[in-house]
Amino acid sequence: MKVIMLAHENENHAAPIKWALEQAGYQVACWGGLSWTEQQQASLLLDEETRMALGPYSVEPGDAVWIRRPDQPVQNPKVAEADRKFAELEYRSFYHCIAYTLETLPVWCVNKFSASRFINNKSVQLRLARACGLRVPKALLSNSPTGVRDFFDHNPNKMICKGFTPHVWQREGQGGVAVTETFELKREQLPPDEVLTYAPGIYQDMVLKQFDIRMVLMGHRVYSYALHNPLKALDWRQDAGQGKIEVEIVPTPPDVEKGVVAFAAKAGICFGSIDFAVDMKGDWWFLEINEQGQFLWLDQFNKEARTQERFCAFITAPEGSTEPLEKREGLFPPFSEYEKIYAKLQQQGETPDLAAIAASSPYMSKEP
Amino acid sequence: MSVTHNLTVDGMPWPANFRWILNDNGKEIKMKNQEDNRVLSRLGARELTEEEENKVAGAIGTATKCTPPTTTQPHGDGDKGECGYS
Repeated sequence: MKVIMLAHENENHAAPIKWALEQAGYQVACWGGLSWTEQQQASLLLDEETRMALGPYSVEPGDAVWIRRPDQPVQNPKVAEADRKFAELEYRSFYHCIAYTLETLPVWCVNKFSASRFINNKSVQLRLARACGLRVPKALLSNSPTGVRDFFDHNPNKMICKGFTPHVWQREGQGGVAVTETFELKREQLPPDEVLTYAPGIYQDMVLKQFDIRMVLMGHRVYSYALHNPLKALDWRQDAGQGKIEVEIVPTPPDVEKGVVAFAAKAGICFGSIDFAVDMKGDWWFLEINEQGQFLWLDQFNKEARTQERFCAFITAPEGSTEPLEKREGLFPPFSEYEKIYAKLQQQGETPDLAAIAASSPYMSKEP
Repeated sequence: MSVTHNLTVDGMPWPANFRWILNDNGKEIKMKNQEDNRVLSRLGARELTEEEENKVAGAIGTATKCTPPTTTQPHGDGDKGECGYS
């Protein structure tokens, strides 16, 4: 049995998890996604048996496949311009063949590609969460100025606005970046109608919260962490990046745990990071799930979180195992040990070309 | 920038199509110029100073919601991921 990660070796979660698994004697293979380069080529042989090769690695029965964060398919840049669009679509179709076929093979996918594509839709998340008994703030997803204004007009509560995807704008010349985040939006702050059509948005009741929760789902187990932000920012993420929050291990209310487990079953997922807001009465409100969300930062803030050890125990256990992860977490080294190694790597590293990154990334733009 | 709750620009020393919008967190949602045609999420985005950016880039970067490509994460999220990009 080996663990195959669909991610580059230097991806910020793949690298420490690979290291921790290898320290415990497990075989790990990282495949960065489909590309024309030799390391990222793939083959899928459909005969009496199906064989899949991802770069130099064969997918074998019993493997665990962590579909972490592969590249988007990349075609050979030398392809004739007249064939570029065709090649792009062929690469995309082939990647989908690989990703969907994985879940038909005798391997364990964390998560199944079909489930991840399904649950990454915000509206699906909110509907399923509500159907599973979780508290969900009222929300409108829209690019219709009339719809947005009507939603604000008929809603007395405080409101927030957020995007479907994150984005980074890098300012040319003067340095600094702007990063999308959830922000409060009042009726009188709505921009001219046309601006609301530039990009669809998510408009939602604001939960007046005591604190946030980041929950990590691993199979039927959930681990909850309260995020205390002294700055009381609406969105804790950037403050977390700045090291300005505190992470506290907290018990999950039984009704919330029951709802999350039911939600995961409906969604077809076994792993994910879930965000809740806890209101002044102590009620937990489901905000969203990121099925490949970040979790190791919890260990950075609180060494007792042990998400690295638990994830390693999770992905090396048999699919569907209900054994407590705590029984095997001691096999794996903690994230704090990896941080020491990373510090050394960083001293030897070179600064990447940010301009090239911005030009090639769908999540990063440059602005004057 | 001092905080003000003027939501309109009449009589202010900047052009009529230049508006400042503030939220209760004290963050300016700046619509600098409507000719800019910027999306609402950009207007509500958090501005990181170079120092803050470097602080994020200098860490392992595991706290970011979605690993937007930074100096530590040049590859972005690929074909799938929590960003919903697919």
